[in-house]
Amino acid sequence: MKKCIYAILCFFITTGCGMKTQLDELTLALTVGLDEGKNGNLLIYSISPVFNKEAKNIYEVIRTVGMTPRDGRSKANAFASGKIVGGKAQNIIVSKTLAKKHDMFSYLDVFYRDPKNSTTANFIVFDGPLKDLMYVRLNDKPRLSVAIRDVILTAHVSKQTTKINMLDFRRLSLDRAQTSFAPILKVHKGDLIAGGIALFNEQRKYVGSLLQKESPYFAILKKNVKPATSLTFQTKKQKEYVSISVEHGDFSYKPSFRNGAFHFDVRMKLGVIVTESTTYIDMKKEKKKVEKWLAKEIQKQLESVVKKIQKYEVDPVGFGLYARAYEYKQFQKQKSWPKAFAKAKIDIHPTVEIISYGVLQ
Amino acid sequence: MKRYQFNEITTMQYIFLISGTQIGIGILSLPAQLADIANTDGWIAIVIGWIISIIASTIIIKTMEKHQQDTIFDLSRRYFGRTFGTFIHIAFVAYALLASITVVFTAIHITQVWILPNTPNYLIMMLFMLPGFFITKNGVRILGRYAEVVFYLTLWMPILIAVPLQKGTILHMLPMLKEGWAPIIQAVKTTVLSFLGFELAFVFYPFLKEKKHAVKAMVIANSISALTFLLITITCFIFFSPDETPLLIWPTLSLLKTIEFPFIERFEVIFLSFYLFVMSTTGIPYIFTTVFGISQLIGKKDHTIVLLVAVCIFIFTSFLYNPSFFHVQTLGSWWEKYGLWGAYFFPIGLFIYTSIARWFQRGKKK
Repeated sequence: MKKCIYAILCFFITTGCGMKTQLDELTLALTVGLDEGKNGNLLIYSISPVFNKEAKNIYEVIRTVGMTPRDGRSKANAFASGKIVGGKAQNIIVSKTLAKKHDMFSYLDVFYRDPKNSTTANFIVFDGPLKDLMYVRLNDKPRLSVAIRDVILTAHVSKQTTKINMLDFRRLSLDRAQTSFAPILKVHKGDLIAGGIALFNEQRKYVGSLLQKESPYFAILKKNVKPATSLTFQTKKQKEYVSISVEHGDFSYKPSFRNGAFHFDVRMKLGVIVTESTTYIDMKKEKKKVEKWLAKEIQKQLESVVKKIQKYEVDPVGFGLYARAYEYKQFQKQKSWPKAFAKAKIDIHPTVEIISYGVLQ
Repeated sequence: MKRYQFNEITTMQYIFLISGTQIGIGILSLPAQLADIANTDGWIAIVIGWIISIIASTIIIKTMEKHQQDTIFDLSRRYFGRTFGTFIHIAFVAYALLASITVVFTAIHITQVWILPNTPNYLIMMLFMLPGFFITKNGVRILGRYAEVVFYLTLWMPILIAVPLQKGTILHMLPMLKEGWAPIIQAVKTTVLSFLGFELAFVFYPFLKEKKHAVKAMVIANSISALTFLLITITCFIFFSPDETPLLIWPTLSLLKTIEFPFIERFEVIFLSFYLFVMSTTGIPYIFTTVFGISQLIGKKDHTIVLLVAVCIFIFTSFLYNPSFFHVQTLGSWWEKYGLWGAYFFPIGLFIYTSIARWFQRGKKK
């Protein structure tokens, strides 16, 4: 009797088998792209790998027109070779034109609301119409979805752009003390290029961007220097250059509130390695002088980056976090932090210490 | 004479049984509720709630101490007479029943939303009820052992929850006491309810082998729960911004979505599957209390038949009724309202009443 019961019980374990899905019957959308079509419609692209030996292409691109991403997915099911699944998405790409006009959250809601969707996908802004990216043929690269991810990752590590996943994008957007940002991807002469940072305002609309050469300074402001942020400066004499790599940094952001405006006293101590110098510098004698000169150059660049984000009325660096933590009463009085931040006065005082200058004198 | 000699549990098992009951479904939504009321100062409310729950559970032990072999069901009849005692008996059973219904249906709802969206709820209910039946059938000793095993099985989970910490910023926690003490005091009402579960000491105390450790055990059990609540709440506050946390329904699970390994995605599915163990240690003691109370009420020594009927009713209900998220929330709020009375006001009243009653009896003897 007892054995019989146990045998029956074993069948309970198999309850999940009725609802199985086979991998090759699915269309795994690894990359989802959103663009604005004609008449204000939403164009939805999805790139999915094809697991079929007979298929010529290793991935398929599906393009649909719909009201929302979920609506587009339902329509796309009509001609996809398998049921479309979004849970494995690696990249969510929006075009710059769409990002400029609309609040991003109204389009991205489905990725957050449906727990089956992955929120660790990279969020990327594409400069140009998305069809340029979707139908690009990269013969020397892996599948497009993987290539996009790799390009972004590599550029992020070398500080040419930044990286943000869907969840972080939401975190930063919803925080009253900061605004979000995203990496920019371009297609230039059939090549993928990642560089620059797209800035979003409080309403999650694209307002402007930082250039590729400003990205490393943005990383420094975000205290994100590791592993090695590489910078190159031109010396006063024309066509001579010095390259350094910032190895580590100590940062302090001191907020205060005076005369109706926020002040930030930013101090940073950067430890750098000189990696290249096209001119001869006597390091033993001129170390102090070079350090001072580098600090001044860095300060100039950092200030211009801060000015730029103040002009756009965004705070991707997170100055607001410090304001809220140390000047809470004044922070709460501000209706909109980015507006208050635009008026804030920011003093940046970097100091540079040359740790080493390589194996040459 | 010991009534429950064959069902005694060790102090360790007792601790894990109580703290297992406390840590359950509440913890998944606690950070959002706290952030909503007290912003990132909510964690202070947990500390205050912890102290209050320790006081309440000490009062429970002090009440039970006088009659070491009595559960609340015997005690109520001893002090309140037949009619009124039965009333309290039924009220306590009803409370445990409400708690078990809430836990089971919430667990099913969460499982359906996060892990098994296509599986019908009666199948999940059957799968839940199977281990529930076998553990409850064998009485308190097995319950205690199960709670202990689950505790060791789930020790790795808090470590993983702390992984997102490195991505957040401690600046979210500053300044402390943003808006003064008022919102924190308000939030205490929420936190004391997340400690619900220690009131089952009313039932499990007579089964404890070494009664002299009872108060200490209650303190440790409450502290384990408080530490868990603190860890999760602070991690949520540091990771999510104070503006975002109230917007999430289950911030703890959203937190887990961020954990990413090169070889595995959607880690929260694995976590939640394991978390079903933790939820079972909340549900099963309540189911046991319900069944145990009913069988005492009808004068049956063995509670297997009552349990069988209860399990059948549970499964049968799930065929007819699949609660929406709104219903699950309503159930939860009922439990909390009832729990505030059952676990905090009732023990205090009972303690005062029994002390006075005993004082009068002593007076008579003289």
